[in-house]
Amino acid sequence: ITFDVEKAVIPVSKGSHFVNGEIQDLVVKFLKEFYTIYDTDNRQPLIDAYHEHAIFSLTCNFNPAMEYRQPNLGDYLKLSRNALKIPGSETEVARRMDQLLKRGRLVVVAQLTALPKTTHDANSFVVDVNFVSNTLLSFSVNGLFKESDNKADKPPIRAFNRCFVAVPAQGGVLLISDMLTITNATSEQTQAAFKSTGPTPSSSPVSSNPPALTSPSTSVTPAVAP
Amino acid sequence: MAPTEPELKEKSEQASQAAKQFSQIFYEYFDKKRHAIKNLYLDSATMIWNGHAVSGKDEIVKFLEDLPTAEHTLTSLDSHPLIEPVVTDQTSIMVTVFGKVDYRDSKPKSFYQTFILTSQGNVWKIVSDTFRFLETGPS
Repeated sequence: ITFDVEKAVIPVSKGSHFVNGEIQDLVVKFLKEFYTIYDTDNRQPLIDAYHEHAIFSLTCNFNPAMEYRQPNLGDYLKLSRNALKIPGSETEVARRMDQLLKRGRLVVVAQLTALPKTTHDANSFVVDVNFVSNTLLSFSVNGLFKESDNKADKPPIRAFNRCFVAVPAQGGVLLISDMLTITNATSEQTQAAFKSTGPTPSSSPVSSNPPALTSPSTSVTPAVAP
Repeated sequence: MAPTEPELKEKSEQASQAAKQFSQIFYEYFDKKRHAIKNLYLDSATMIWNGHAVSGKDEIVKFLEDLPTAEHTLTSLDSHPLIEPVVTDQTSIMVTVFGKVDYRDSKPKSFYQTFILTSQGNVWKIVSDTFRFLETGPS
């Protein structure tokens, strides 16, 4: 004879959540254009995607669920705006947190330009649109990338989560907030990364082959129906 | 009107402080007294839990109460003030957490979680809650 104990199960994960087709078109187009530029040698044109008062910050972390030795986090560490890891008194932490928050689109894009060059695996992207109103659009992207100028034999695959908050602007949307979390991919993720480059159809909402932009000046701000 | 530099600093400091307190309360409630988590959500809050979209405080709480017993350990915490509020005339902030969650009888998993909070009266409420395991995407 036993007892009727807790039998709760973890629900099976679902794919991207876009709220509706119109928002999906907007967000997918935005992300294709954003990451097409982000993955080139010149991230400067991204300035058109940011609001004058945009803010950006990143945190980098070892993956806490991995038992084995992990690749180091390199250049990201000194920029990591992690409220749990910055040492010092309350005043010192506040000062450091303030320094690590990049404010204004010029400063933001300068920071993005200084980060390692990347290649993102668009097939790994999972997108969640988490707030929509007439004045605000918030969405987050989870996925994988590698550092394209990493000289290691087997460059590490990184996992990331990036939250974008955008406001409508003339002819498109502008980012007011961009928050990036970087960690090392799990071994399952590393094995699956950058595999779906062939003609195999993918259920991923984002194409594995984002269309090349015709010119670097092409706007990254997609048209949005108000 | 463009915000001034001291105003911007103050806003991000306010967001940092709120984020720190919020993350302590949220995960303590989640892990130790999940029924109490209800008060942290706005009535009209929305949640996306690994792609499952849930609307409204009551539905969210029902969903969360059906999850297995959990223990969260946070690795990182960051926050942004939002210059455009999610609710008119209320201060809004965004909080992102990265860490590990240990459900009984299963391997610990890394997760990302992002909240949008709004200051209703003098109290922060969750407007939006987005949770994702760090896992190979659904294929």
